[in-house]
Amino acid sequence: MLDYFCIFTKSGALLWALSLTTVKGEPVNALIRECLLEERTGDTTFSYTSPSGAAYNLKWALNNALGIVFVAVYQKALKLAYVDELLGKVNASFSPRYQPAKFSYADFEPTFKRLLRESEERADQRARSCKVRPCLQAAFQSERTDGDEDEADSKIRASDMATSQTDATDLTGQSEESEGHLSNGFDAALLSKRLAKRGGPGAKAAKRAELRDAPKPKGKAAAKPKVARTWNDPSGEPRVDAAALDFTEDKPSDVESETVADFSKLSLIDVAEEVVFDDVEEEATGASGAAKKPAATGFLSSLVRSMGVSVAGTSSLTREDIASARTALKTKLMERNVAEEIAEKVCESVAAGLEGRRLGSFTRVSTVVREAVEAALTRILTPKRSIDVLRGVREAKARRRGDRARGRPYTIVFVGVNGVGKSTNLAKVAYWLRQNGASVMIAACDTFRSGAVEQLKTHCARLGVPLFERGYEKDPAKVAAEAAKAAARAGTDVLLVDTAGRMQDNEPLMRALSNLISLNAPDLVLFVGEALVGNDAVDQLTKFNRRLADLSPGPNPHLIDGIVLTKFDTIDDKVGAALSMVYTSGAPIVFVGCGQTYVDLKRLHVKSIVAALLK
Amino acid sequence: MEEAWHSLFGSGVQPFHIAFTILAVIGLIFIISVARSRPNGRNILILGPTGSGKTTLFHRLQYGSTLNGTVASMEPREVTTNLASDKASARASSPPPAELLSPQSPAARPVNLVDIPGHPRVRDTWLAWEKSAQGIVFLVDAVDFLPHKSAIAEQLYDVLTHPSVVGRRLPILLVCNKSDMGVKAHSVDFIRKRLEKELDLLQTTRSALEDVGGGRAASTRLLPPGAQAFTLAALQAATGIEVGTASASAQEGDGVGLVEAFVRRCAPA
Repeated sequence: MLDYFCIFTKSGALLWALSLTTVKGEPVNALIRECLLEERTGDTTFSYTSPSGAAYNLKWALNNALGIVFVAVYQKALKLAYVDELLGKVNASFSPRYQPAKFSYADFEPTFKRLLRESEERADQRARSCKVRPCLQAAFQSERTDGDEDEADSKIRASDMATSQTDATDLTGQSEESEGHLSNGFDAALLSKRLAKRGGPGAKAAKRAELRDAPKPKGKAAAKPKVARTWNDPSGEPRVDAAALDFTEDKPSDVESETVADFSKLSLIDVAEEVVFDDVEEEATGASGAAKKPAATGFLSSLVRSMGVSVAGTSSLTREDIASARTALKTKLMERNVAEEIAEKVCESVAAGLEGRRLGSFTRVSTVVREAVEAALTRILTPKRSIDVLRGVREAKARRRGDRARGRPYTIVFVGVNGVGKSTNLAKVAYWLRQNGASVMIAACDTFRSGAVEQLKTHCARLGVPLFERGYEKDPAKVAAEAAKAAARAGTDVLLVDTAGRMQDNEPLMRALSNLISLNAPDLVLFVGEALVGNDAVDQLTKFNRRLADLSPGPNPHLIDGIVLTKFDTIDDKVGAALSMVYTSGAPIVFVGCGQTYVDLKRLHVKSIVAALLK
Repeated sequence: MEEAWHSLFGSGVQPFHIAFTILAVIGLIFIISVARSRPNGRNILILGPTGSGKTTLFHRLQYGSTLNGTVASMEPREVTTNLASDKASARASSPPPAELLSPQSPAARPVNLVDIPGHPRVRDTWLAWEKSAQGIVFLVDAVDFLPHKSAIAEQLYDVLTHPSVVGRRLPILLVCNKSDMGVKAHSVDFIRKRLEKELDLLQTTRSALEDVGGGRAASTRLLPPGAQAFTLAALQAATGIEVGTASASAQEGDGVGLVEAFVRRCAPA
């Protein structure tokens, strides 16, 4: 059964609504905020879970010509086949009634009820005519999706006979869950819900078993070779050959006197510049070039057609009109290194928002498409919430002044895959923070890669920042915890935690990271990603977030808060990674690393990125 | 020559066709450019965070009634209208007695109201009207204020430091909406003080972060550095930006008179 149906204008006025049952929470507002305004209209269903736990599915139809939206809300557990049809019908019958200055359509109710009844009846008939086969198919499908959804889940079932004999309802529930899961990329609410669901006795047992299995071999295998490589011998007597290798320990004074960083230079984040691209003027010609087709007969007559100029000013855009511009746009975005998946989604969403819109007099289709794309990209890249690091630092300072015992520093954890520049950009952030009057401590929690601690040591010496390190092959989570204590004792404002680079598919390392984050409860988790990355950006961010959510022991996993985009100086106009990352994670880009020195840290300028994407 | 002409333009096209077309195109471009330029002046913008009641207030100002309900807005809405109360008074006594109206009747000309969505992704759309705005009504939800106070302050900060607002000293009215909720609604003074404190904090952290649009411009701070703690009064003294406060209920209509008075003052006839 349908729970709720409403019609509203894009400018926010509710025109008509019908509640068939009481709807908990605000599903419609959630749909607007998290889907329609996020350029995710390429999807067809939106799932919403109210704070009280009621789960709904929402479907919608846009009427772009009139600027009105139709939304149907129904229980998530139900599979209503007729909703799309109903939305189309209501759109068709409501549109003629719509008047811009009229805001009450109480008389629409009988019409709606008739349409609803008709749709339901038709759906019933269809279901009755082919009842047997779909049921079998559904069962089969649910079993399949369930099987390849998650290894852990199947493990639980294999290990525990009692839970493996799950009944049909459980199976369908699972398959639906995985469906929502797949369609949504990642969704924190959904993930945490899944976690909560998994917390049955069987799941716990399996988790314990897994835990027992997983870390042990790694610990045994990794322990031996690592001992020989220890730089700081725990006994306090550095062995001769180790000492010979260790340059930083022997001559720290050398390093310091030569190359202490010059704090008189402003970090670029504070100076005028922003990331700007030339040739913005070219955009227009580029866009029209895409729309032009070779002239076959008569230059003038074809010119009008090829430019897609609407002379009458009344024709509305159809899918075919947009199609060519859409393909050109997708190609352009992909040329700019936007992940294919993201480019497709953005284009789909823009197309959905344009279909049916009326063209003004003498406007070209390509111009309209271009404006819509520009607006969409700007919307995606504009941060939803601002991350003001300095403000957080100030609050931490104030907290410490109030109560020294609880005065923990503002903690930032840098995570990311190997070789993207975590340590380098951490040093840049440290430089910037020091310039803005915060005292900084760096925690070396990369206890994995040889030379990582020494690299930080050099940075710290140059920046005049204390380093907290416990050598290699210690548990990074504990090192970070100790560092936080040391920083609190020393009265430091900010603690920057450097972690080891890890591939997103490396289960033990991701588990360690999740452990570090949940144990230390940092104020900010920054994902460091390089601007060179293409399609992998989506995979990296999705998996990092999913792993952080899945592997977190607590009920409220701390996901990625922000993004540091590195190596931005190397990519010229291929700025697509910025779009891919922001779209995938919903997290804003906090810093942009754009050079080799400490001052090369900037903020993202949305307009110039959009211009570069569409150049 | 003839052949080249035909190959280029197809048969049946004469030179005067071309000349005529060129003239027509030039004329059209001129007409379009005139039509596209926004009407200058008399724009009153309604800003504020999402869910603060902007759309309801907009409707209240335009029609003097309430809507069936509202949802989060996705697009700005612009309407050139007489205020509802003006329409009502015009209906009640037409022509209005001369002594009741000021020499320049405020009801004589309509104003241009713009309702800007509050969602962070689309709230920057107000920049399309920045040049022509005459005043800004900034709405705050007086009930659900404390959990969002820093976000609200950030939005207000962006408005207060915007070059157009600073340069033209746009008057701003801070409206604490939903006063009909009784004790659940915070008082205007409470909200003002909290916002002042937040803005004071922001001007130190924001001015360090600023980079876009020409760097560390003077306008990124609310007050010159070294001044006393930030208050709206101090802001007016230092920069001339006038920020009034009012308590209103867009739903019930209480206190909307203050907003209407502000609108009329910003867009006099």
